[in-house]
Amino acid sequence: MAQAAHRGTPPRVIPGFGLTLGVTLAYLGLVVLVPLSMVGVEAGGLGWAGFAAIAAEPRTLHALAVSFGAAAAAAAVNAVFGTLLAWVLVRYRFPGRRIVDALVDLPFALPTAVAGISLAALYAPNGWIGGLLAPLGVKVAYTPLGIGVALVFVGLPFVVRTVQPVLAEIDAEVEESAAALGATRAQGFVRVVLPLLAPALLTGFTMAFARGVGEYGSVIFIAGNIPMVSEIAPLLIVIRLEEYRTDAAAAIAALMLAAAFALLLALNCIQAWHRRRVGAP
Amino acid sequence: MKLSGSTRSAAVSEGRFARACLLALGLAFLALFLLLPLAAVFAEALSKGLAVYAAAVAEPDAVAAIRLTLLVTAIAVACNLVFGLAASWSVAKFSFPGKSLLVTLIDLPFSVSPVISGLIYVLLFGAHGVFGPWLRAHGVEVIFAVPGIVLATVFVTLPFVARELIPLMEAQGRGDEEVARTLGASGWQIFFRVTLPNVKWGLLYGVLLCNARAMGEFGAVSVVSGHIRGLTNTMPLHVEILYNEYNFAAAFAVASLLALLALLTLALKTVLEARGAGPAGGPGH
Amino acid sequence: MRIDICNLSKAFDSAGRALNGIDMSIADGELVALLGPSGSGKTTLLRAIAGLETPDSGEILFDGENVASRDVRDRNVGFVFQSYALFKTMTVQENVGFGLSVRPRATRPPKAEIAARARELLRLVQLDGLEDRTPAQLSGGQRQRVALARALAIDPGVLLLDEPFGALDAKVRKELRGWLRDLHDRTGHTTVFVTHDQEEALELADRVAVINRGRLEQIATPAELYGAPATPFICEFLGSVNAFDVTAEGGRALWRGHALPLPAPCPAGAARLFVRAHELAALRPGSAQPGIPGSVEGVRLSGSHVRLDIRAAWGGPLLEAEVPILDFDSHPWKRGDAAVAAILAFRAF
Repeated sequence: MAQAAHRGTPPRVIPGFGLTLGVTLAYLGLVVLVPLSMVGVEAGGLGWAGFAAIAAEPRTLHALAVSFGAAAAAAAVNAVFGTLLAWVLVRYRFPGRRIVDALVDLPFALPTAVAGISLAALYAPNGWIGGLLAPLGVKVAYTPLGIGVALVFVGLPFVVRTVQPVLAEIDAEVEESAAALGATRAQGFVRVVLPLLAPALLTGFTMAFARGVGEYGSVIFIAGNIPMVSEIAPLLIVIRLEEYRTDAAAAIAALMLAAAFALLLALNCIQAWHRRRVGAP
Repeated sequence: MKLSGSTRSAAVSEGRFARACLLALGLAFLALFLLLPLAAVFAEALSKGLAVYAAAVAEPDAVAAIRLTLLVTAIAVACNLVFGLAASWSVAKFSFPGKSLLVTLIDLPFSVSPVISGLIYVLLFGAHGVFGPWLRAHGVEVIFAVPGIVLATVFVTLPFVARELIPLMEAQGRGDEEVARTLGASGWQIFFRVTLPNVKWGLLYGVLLCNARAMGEFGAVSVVSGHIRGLTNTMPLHVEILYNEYNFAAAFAVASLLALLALLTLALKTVLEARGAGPAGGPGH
Repeated sequence: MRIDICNLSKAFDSAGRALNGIDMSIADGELVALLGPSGSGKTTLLRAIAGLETPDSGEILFDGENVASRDVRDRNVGFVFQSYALFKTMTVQENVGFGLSVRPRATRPPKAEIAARARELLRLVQLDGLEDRTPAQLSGGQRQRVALARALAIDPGVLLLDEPFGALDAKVRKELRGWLRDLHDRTGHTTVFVTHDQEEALELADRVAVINRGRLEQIATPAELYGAPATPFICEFLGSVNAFDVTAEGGRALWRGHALPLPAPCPAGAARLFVRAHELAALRPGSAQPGIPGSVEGVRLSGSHVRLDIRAAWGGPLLEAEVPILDFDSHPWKRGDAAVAAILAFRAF
């Protein structure tokens, strides 16, 4: 029957199809799909009513709101400064540019727990930055603002690394063309450059946002973790787990996974739409 | 400081002043949010002097944590290396239905919160999990033990090698392998003598990122580890425990080792990128 | 609009392209080609006129007014880039209307007027009906015409085109060439275009400026340029040409130790004679006309002519002679035939 299935396709010249695809599927199934599906099984065990009850708990709602709100705010900050950094790295030549370029990836390389304790130490009232802000009455550590700071750290490279290559690809002639048609520098940026960057910017924003929503290690040290104030959703999962309420943990996890997949889908749609419109991949 | 513009014509580049302002603003942001936290790690680590630093790093629990981290990382990297090679070979060298879905699935762990990455193994192997009672009856411990830590680490680092190799192998096509086949090479010969040399820098790049994440993973491991000192504590977990005990100098001392690892990773990454390896499939996580 | 360029110079550090004391005037409504090999500085000159490059010295006058300090935005030039540089995220109509829509509020026409003007221009370039497409959905030739309509929309004082047909295939290129000439004659814009294709320049332009190594070699009508080239470079650049390095004495020219049979006396002091392929006749041995003895080494058909490679008995490089195809059909040449290459006309430098 295998013959029939491959009818019309030429025989495979390169060997190893069965072996490699078999290993890939088995590994993905055992490591990713089966364990992930447990979230659905466990949360499903609650039934609709039970699930809704946990989802509607004020503490759950608040934790989700903090996670999503802080992640969105941090991603917005990163969208602005990440684009600025990408601009500077692509367009300007300055001493140390390569080091700065490499440094942008620090949040990818630095373990989140290390970033977490370091940010907590910096922004604590007696820390380097916290000490400067305290007299102004600004509290960062142990507040939702601190969560935002940690998520800015975590998300920055996503925006820079998605915008940078697209910006480098923009032909100088396109901007010259806008200038020759009478556009000011600002008009050229807003009407010509920004629309070209928009899909990458949106992608970077979404990736930073998605990462921020699920982030744990860099946040918990600086957040203070006060229920109903600065408690993030991943931490609430851990707390429910420690209380042996695995079903509640799974329910919150299911909500977060659904949001993550929705974001992933949105991202794919954005990219597909842009490809169709502009033509280039 | 010299601020030379690029080759862009004056009509479409910012003036000197605007350029200096944008550059200063960008660098200030970078310094505030990236450089300062990095510097703080080392400053705090050495704040009580070298002796305290050395003692914190050489303490038995710290050494045990380092050992466990290295062990877990070695297993996770090895597993995901084999997986990455198998996945990229099947995706890049053959066409089959559902290929793009497979590629999306490979990236899936990046979209999952680290905490959930740990949670799923608790749901599977924990005391109240699906296989928990059966495993306990047979004396096998997964959760709050090393196997759980390995599984969680494997999960979060699964995509790194594959996502690096797939675009690279796809770009190189199958011509080289087909030629080798016509010359009579066996499958393994093709793999070791043709394919592997073609993708070695990309492979190293993927392994490098996989390694960095495996050593530094915190959230997922934290959920499955149980935090048993000397037994199930990896380095990041050890940092957390020390920090929560207000033993800041020791916490930052161990953290500084991880920070050094991060810097080394960045340096090697830059070297590999100069050799043409690098972010073909978008930024890594 | 009339354009005067006076002693324009620009030194490039890296690319090696430069401009060196360029002087030329372009009359109102004229269609001028800047012709030269790649890297000659012709594009740099075009960009300098537009204000995209800043010259080191010299002046550019638009209708007598120095525009050196005028930004590209305020020069009111229509520039068509070689890559077209269309805005990919905008529709064809938005592209064409862009120049009007970025005007300061005081001089900006209402939206409906901009749209109407864009549609009118798209009709002019025969792209009506494609208003809502994006550039990705157009062919190369259509993109070229959108770029042109976009440049025309701001009612420019001068239309500048950089290699306007460079990115198109040969057939579309020919079509658009005639079409551009036609458009120019209808709209009457002063137009300057850059090309490295001599056929394109000679066929299309009122006058051709030949640029080489940042210098203006000559600016003249195609006929003058072909008939009376001012410099050896132009002789060699236009058409296929035979060069003879000679020593002149008493009206005779000595080439490789032999007196070269010439139709006119060789001017004193001349060092190099240029003879175009069609000015070198291939004769059978024994004919009355004197020439350079040799033999045919190659026969190549090129359209309406046959080109013969003749190896002179006196040595030196292969000579190229052109034979009309009709003559060739009645008296064909083949490899190895003995031939005499007679010079019918020459230019000496």
